[in-house]
Amino acid sequence: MAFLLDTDALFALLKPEPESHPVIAWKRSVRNEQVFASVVSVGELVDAIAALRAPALRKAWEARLHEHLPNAFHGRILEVDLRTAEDWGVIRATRSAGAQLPAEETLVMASARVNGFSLVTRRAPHHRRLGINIIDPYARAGL
Amino acid sequence: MIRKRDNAAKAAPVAERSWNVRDAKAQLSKVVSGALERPQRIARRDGAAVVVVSEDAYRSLLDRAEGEVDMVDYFRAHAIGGAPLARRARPAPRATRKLR
Repeated sequence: MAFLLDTDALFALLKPEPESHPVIAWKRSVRNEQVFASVVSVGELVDAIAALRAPALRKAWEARLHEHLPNAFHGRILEVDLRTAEDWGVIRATRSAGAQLPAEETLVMASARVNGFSLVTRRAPHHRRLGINIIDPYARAGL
Repeated sequence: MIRKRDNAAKAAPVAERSWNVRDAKAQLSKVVSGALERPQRIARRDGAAVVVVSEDAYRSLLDRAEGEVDMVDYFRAHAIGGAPLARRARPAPRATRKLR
């Protein structure tokens, strides 16, 4: 079974949060090879780093972006290919769910759907309506 | 012809060996006891060495060698201070484009 991390889940891993954090506790239950990230989340990471004011902190996160992230996710960062783009359009056209969500979120959803991956995320209601298998570590932790 | 056993000739080496075994046993016991607490390194004069570890530590090492470093541990080894990284507020989705 393979899992695609939503951006929030990826950020929780990259920090990383304490062991008691739901995403960290969930990660401890699966192997690295099962965990994927999306280039869309990488874009959001770049955006979040750019918003940091402290130069030292920004430098540390840039090292995370350019060195640690590729090392940890070697070969497991999904690109937005033609199939994903097409499925993204389908999701966006689903007015009851996809059209209400930001493009970043629906692109990650499309990546999970076309690859048959479970999506690790906290925002479940929209995703389930679109037939995406959801892993919600927060719900598992009773949060 | 039955030869008389030369006990005197054999006695000395045996006595010396017995002393060495006793000493070695004491040393080994000390190493084993120590290894249950932390790894014990025993080095030869030429620098070659062995490390004695407890069974639990050995199995833990085997597990780690067979498996991978969990990415949480990898990221934790290069921990970043400060608050968790936050996504920036995203603009609302655009209205659906129409084909003309």
